Amino acid sequence: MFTRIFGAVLSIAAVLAGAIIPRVHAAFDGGIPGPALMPLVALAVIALGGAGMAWAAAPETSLPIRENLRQVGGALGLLAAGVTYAAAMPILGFVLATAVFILMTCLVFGGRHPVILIVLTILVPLALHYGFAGIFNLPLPEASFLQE
Amino acid sequence: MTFFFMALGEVLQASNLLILAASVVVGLVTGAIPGLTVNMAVALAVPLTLSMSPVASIMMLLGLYCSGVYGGSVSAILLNAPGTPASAATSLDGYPLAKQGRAGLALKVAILASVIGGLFSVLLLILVAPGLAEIALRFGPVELAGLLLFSLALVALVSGADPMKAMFATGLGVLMSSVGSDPMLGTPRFIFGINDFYDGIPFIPLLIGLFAVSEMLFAAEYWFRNRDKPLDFSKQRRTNRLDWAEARRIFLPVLSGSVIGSFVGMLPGLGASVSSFLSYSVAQKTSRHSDEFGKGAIEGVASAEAANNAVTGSAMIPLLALAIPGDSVTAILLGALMIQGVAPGPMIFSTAPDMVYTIYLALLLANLFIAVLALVAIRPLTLVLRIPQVYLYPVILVMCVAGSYVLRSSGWDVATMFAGGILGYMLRRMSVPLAPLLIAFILAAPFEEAMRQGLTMSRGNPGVFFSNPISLGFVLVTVAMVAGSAFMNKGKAV
Amino acid sequence: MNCFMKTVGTLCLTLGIAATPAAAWEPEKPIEIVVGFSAGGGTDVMARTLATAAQDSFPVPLVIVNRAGASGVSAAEYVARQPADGYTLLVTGGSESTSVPKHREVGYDISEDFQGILRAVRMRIVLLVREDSDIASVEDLVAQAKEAPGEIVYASSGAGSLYHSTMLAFGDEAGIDLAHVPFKGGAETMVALLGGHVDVALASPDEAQRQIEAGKVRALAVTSDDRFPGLPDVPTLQEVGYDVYLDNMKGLSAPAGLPEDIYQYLNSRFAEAVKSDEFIDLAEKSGLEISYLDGPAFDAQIAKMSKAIGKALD
Repeated sequence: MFTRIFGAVLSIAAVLAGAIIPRVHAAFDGGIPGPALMPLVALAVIALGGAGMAWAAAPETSLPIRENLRQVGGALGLLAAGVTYAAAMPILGFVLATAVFILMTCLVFGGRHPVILIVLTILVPLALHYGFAGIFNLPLPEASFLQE
Repeated sequence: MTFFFMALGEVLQASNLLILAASVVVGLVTGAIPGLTVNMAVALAVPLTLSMSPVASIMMLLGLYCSGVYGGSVSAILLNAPGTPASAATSLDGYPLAKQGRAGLALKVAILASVIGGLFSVLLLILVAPGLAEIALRFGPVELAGLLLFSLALVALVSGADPMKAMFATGLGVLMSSVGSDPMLGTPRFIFGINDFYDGIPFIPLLIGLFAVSEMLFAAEYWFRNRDKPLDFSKQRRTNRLDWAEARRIFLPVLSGSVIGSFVGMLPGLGASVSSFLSYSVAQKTSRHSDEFGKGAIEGVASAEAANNAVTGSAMIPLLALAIPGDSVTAILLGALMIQGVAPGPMIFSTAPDMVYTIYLALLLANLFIAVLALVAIRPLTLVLRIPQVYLYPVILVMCVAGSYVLRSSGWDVATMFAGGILGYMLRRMSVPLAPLLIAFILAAPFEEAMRQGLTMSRGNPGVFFSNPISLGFVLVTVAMVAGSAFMNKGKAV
Repeated sequence: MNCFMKTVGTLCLTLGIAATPAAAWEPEKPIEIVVGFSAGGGTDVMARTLATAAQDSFPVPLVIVNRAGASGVSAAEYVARQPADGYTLLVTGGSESTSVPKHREVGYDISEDFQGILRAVRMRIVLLVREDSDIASVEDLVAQAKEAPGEIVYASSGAGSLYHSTMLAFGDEAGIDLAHVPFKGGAETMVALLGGHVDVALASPDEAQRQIEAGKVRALAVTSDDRFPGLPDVPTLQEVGYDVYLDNMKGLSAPAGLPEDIYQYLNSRFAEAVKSDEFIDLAEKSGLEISYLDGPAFDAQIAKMSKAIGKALD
């Protein structure tokens, strides 16, 4: 059911976007294809695919809602941790942010072995930092509060 | 011939062989780490070559080049994190194989295919370089548009269980490829004021997101309790053996991959990722096991790997014969060779034949070294899979973030990686196949460019694609293929 | 280690050790040289060579940072936002400085947001045709283009690039209309020319020289103000009567508003590096033509070329 609704929404969205794009970019410019031609073709393909999904999607086996939410929750948790980590990097610097991220994620997801945790938390950030910055001369973000 | 023996003597010196071995190792590691590309490894090695002899520097740069392209496949197979764009096609089937506990087999197939593809293209380079270079010159925008139209049609026709979802994915890939500056006018398209997207959606972060990050999100659904049974090593030995049955299955894909890779490699501007996806599509279309593709078909791994390594030798064809680099890595090589006082171009065969032989020998040896080193490394590498996910995945996520960031020091690239992860996660949850999306994303941009260049040259007359014999040939084959496939589908439906 | 040095530095400062005002500026942390193109390209090689040659006279590391994208515009926008303290420099003088801002809106003004440190090299622009082409000279090209407007096709290395602008400026000056087909870079452009897919192409001297020596292409003209020493028989566009003077230059710029002592410090050290044997040797091998100008003169050249391109596009 979900796929069918998604297909219908997709199809409508593609048609709407296809109606807007020609106002911004030209599909043809003096007989020569313009910037909008390929995007319009792509939207047509998407609209067709979406319509097809709405028309006849293969039957799906869906999990009970509870189970589903639990699963999505795990994925969202990791995603949130990752995004927070990336956002914190310019402030904390690569090494510190990475150490905190690895420690927290391992703990939250149930990795409790103390020796492994300590080794990972210390070695990984330092190894990556010196690997990238030292060998390849590719600087990673440094802590902004240490810069002043 | 004396030049050949001179070159052989130089190349076989212990110090030079050592340099080659070291650079093959470094190349493998660089290639395997997502975000560190072959281009970067070669570019960073150029300053080191300033103080070396020409032979040593050629061996170092070519060793890095060949092994870097192969190295990407290791992380593509083991972690679903393609180390280089060219190995994205490898992970489509390599990672499913790893999940079935057949990572060893996938790695063996990848090595075999890579080395055969690499050697095939080196032999082409040695035997027929000047003639092939002339053919490459005939591929202007019009001919390229024909070739790419054919390739796109292949993708559209290669659909899995649900053709409608594959269609949606194809459209999405084309749409995503149109982000960035317009290839003809230079005006920005759909970049919403973010200049980092001016050159298009950055490919490596997108790739890392779609494959590696989405895979980790799936694992997080179960809180990193490995769903897949722990690898049973006694059973593993048997399922990971590469015997005659497997060898027969991959024979044709490796051969077609080698030919396609060699051909695409000598056309400037396409490169290893186009060749591997094109070869993958051809292999899927022609395979008797086409329904297994994407679920762990060794043909998929073999065709992709043969093609991307075949590019390494053939990209040298226009470089040596015409002094025109076939891709961005060979452009760097050209600069490095000139600094060494070796000037490629039609004259090099008479002015510096010893250097030409050195390049041939270095390429051959590099491929052999890769085979040996990689075979030795298979068992220790597969041990990575025995690390519990809960410790492995946070570390890999860190490497993904760092790898996306370092290439351009851009925060938007990291954002792209996460967006790619969310997209990949959602699409896979709805069982929309990722392969058509990626293939369309890779092929649509050069197709649009070539088509519009061709139409600009003909001042808007589409007849140019039909009056040119090469592009007409591709158009006819495409039409025949679409018609044939429609006919066959009709037959199935009845 | 770094933190420790910083702490020591801060301590010294607070104790007044370094407070002698007469002391000239000395850098205390690594200096970033931002390159707007990817590693291994011509601009990147020039920057790395210059940094290597200059490193010995700096007490801190010179770090090359590649911020590739949008023909160098991404990097320029980034550096324009940095403080004018001498710790962030940009490699300027090419498309991002003189050409792209005239084609589309960018987030900086090259003459107001930047100030030059020095120009190190120039890469001239060569107008090429195939060896078997019936266009034998610039006069031929103009005559044929006037006969059939829009029929002659030329290849450039991208829409809005310096090569594209050069052709527009020439077309404007000569009153001709040529069809433009942009390619991704120098290699693709050269293949399009050699394969007969376009009639005219623009290239850098080292790309051009290789093909000229092989007898595959002929040079019609160079677009600089004097003849290129490597191709002494090829006239400049000015000599044949078209007032076009555009060069692809490579030098260093800093965000505008740099204190005079910092400018002097950076200029003198990099100028020395440009004259060093190491740089001269490498430049010769990589086909770069050393052509030093100090900061203000470099700025003046950039302004002059931007103006010429702006005039042609109006």
